[in-house]
Amino acid sequence: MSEKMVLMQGNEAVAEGAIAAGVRFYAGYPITPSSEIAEIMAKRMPQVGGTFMQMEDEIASIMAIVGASMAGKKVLTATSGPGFSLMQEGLGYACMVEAPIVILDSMRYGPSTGMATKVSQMDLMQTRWGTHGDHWVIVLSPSSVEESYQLTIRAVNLAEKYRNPVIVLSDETISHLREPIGISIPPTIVDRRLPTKKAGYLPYKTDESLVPTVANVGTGFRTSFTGLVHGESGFQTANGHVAEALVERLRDKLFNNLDDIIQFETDRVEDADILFMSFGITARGVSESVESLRSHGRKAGSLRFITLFPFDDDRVRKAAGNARTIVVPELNSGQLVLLVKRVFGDSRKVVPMNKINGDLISPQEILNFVREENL
Amino acid sequence: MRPDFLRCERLPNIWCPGCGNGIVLRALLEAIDQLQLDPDKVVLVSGIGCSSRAPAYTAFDNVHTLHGRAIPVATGIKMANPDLTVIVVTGDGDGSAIGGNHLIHAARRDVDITVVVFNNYNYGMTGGQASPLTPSSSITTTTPNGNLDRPFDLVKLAAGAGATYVARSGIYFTKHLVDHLKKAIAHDGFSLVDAVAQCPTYFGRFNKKGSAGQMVTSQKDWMVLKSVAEKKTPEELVGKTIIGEFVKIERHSPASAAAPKEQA
Amino acid sequence: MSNDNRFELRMTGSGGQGLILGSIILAEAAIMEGKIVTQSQVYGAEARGGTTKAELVISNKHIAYPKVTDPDLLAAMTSEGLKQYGGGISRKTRVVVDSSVMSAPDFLNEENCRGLLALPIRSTLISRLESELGLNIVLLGIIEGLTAIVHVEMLRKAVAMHIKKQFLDFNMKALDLGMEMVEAQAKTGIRI
Repeated sequence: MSEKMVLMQGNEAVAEGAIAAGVRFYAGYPITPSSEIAEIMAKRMPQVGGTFMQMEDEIASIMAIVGASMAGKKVLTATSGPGFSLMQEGLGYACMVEAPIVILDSMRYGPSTGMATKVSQMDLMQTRWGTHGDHWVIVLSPSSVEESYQLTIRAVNLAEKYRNPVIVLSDETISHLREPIGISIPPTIVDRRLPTKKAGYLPYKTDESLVPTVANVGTGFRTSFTGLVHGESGFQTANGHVAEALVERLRDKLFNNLDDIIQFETDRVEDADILFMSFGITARGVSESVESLRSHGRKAGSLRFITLFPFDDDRVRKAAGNARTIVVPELNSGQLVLLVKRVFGDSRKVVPMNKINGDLISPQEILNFVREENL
Repeated sequence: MRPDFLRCERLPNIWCPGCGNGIVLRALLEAIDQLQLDPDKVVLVSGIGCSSRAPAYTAFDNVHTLHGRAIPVATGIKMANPDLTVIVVTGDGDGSAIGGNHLIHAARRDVDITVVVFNNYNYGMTGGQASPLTPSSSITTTTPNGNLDRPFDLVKLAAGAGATYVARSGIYFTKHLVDHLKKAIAHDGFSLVDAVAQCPTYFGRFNKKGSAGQMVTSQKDWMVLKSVAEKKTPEELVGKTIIGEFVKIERHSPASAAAPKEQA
Repeated sequence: MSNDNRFELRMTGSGGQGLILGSIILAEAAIMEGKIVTQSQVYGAEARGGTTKAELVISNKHIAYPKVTDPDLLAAMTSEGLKQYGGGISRKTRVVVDSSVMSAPDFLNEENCRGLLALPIRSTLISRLESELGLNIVLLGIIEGLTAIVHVEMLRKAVAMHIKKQFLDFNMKALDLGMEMVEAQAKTGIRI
């Protein structure tokens, strides 16, 4: 079963993963460190019968992919923190009209323009809370080039299945890292469900899945889309009960399917007395540290978040074993650790480990930290 | 006009008595009817504001987007499905302020959509604030001492940005308006119609423009047909707004765009 | 930290020397041998004309931490590159410098690195192949001559994947030149 391995850059893997998943419309705006995705899509979209557009800014980029998604295409845009900030209103709109879209955010050092070519994990909470109002998104976090490919496919599939924006939260290091990956096995593809009967068509009426079957525009169903609160008809209303039902459904369509959406990767959690919880590129330093600690007789383990959001406290608690100490290394001033503390309260010793100088956390630094903090 | 182009169950509309938006909407539906477009293939896309509520009263696919963002959404729809007739309904604030950047870039790209600006010289929905099309010295809630800024000339703005069809009309001249909407929609390329309407509730009241009816009929006094204006001196045209067709050119087709190479 | 089979390479110089491409070529040669690699580089304006850095990790098994932490080999093609990215070396690190553009750094000695090889890379390239281009490929030849990290034939194959046909001959000569320079150095036994 040895698959031919090819050397690929993280950004290239995202573009190729998107194409493999059926993405045929890309709109974007140049920004380091995600620009290669736009460059590759500019070349590749016409080759596969798709459309590439360079827009005037990131606001236009996200709105253009929402429009193309409404017209039935699988869509992607890619950006980094400064552009992701501009995309927030479009993200909220896509949540509200339930347009399947995928956004790749390659985290660079923030805030503001920050350091364009340096890595961080400072956008974590922005993916969850960046746009105003109660809303829910799916956020996936690759930690390698291979996983950038696989998770982009998964992101497109989840977006289509749940009619929801999905964010692939990558970073500068993974975006520009080259690793061998095998991509010759055709992926599983999921398509959005569409309405079958025009008679009695209500775009936002749902069955037990809570996912509506909104028609693509131009297919004769004559749908009304709006970012205003709307009922099953799609039309605006100021009825508080309708609003409540809508926002609850936007949550429940994801939260009723957490088994399908949430993925962790665990390593020797069962007997661990010190557990590292991390995501993305940081998990790779962790992995080596766990190996090293184990080789010195220390019972270390790792839990890596592949799905960051939805974040389910119960699942995290169950997956975390009984380690008395939980270390949360991340390339920010403490974002994931807020969630971990919420899960465990005072029942475990939860220790943040933060690095904010634009470099990765190396395995040696983790070992030093464990020693110096007497963990 | 075909009544089945409206979702009558959604009426009455939210517009104030005497608002001009209904007349522009009617003209638009009339144009779509006269062009005999397949209603299943027409998509109306709007932003936020009074005029942007118009599409939801129609029986077409309609997309009420965010403030200023109708044009990029329309661009995405059109590029994803070029068989559709995509019409943007926007206001002067939505289209030329918060959405102004999208407007000029869509014109530059010459994407084949039609933008209809329901121009009532102020932000109606939020209470009559100044827009980029509010004339100098006019009173609005955010220019209580008179507007210090100059307005955009939307026609020149669109033309300068590369639009291949640009026209202006007013609701007093309904046949003129319908005709130019038809030409704009039928045009292959980016088209814009500056459709001048009235906001009697705010702009009209603050600037003592009289009743809604007077605001409509006064258009015949301060609007001049382009063909007539061409025979007049600049002095005679002070304070006048010229209506008619300003740009109609072949759409831009790049000579050097190579066919994409086949996949390796 | 590094495992016995983990090989870490850091190359530094100035933008335009093709060091990033060099690291990609070596990475692909290693992949053809069934090895695992991670390749990375500094990005941004500084990578075009300014000081640049390319890194490669080669291993027989899964590479967790993808960056170079303790290089087995550091190749510096400019003194600025050595100054900026020459830190973090240890007694396992072999250092190669281009003596035609820089004097041998006095801060390197037997205490802090495994060995220093100063070769007149650029001047030899110009005198032997009458070109200023191809420095990266000569360097690959030197790395190969020093480490035999991949089979030479794989390296030739990987070079061919990235070099246009009309320049292939020249680049093969450049590769040979690099390996020759190491061999000649070994014969004379001169070690600075």
